[in-house]
Amino acid sequence: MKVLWLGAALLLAVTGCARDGEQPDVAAAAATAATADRAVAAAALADAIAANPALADSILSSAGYTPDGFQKLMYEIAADSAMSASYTAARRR
Amino acid sequence: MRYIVPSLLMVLSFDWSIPLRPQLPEWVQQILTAAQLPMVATEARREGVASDQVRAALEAMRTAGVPPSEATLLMDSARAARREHGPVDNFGAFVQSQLAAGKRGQELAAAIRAEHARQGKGNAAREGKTQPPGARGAPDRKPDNRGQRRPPNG
Repeated sequence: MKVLWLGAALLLAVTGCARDGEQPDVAAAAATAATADRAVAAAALADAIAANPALADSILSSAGYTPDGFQKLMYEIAADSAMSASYTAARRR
Repeated sequence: MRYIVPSLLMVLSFDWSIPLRPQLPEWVQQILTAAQLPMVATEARREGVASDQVRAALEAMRTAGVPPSEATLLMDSARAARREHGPVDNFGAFVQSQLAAGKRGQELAAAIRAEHARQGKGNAAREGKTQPPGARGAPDRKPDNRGQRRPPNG
């Protein structure tokens, strides 16, 4: 019986360790998804402006950007290989 | 009536010469060009420019206050020079040094083209210098963008 309890405790400890080990991966995946979402959202914004350039100002402001802010975002996305790949894929869809 | 038809035709032909779409303001043109920057950067990476070099060049341009619309044109010009002459070492550092020297716009684009023409690793093959493939300094005959779509330039 003692051996059984010891085994159960060991199993719990191992499972707990494995879950602790998984947490950074989950956080990293969430961060990756967030940056990809941001790039895809920026691509949608760029598509909207390209389709209606006369409404560029209102499209930008409704998304919470100034022209300067949007241009800074373009630099930020371009410098990041994963974000720029997501942006490019989204714009070509 | 004899004069009405020609007059009408003249008015219509004048109207047709006016662009159907009104001229966009300069800042909207800049936004549309800036929106190409991530795509041009992606294509540069796909064509074989190291990701850290792309980042270094972009970071140098951003820090120097180069508008992203201009950065788009510069990166595109650098891609064309790379395709023509081959890659150069330390592309990012070169761009940074030219910006530090005060070059911008056309002057910077010309400096990038000149650097590729001078240092590009594909020049030897075009000049007919006989170097066996794989020799030190010999160009790799396999293009680094085989099977990849070329992006629209603009």
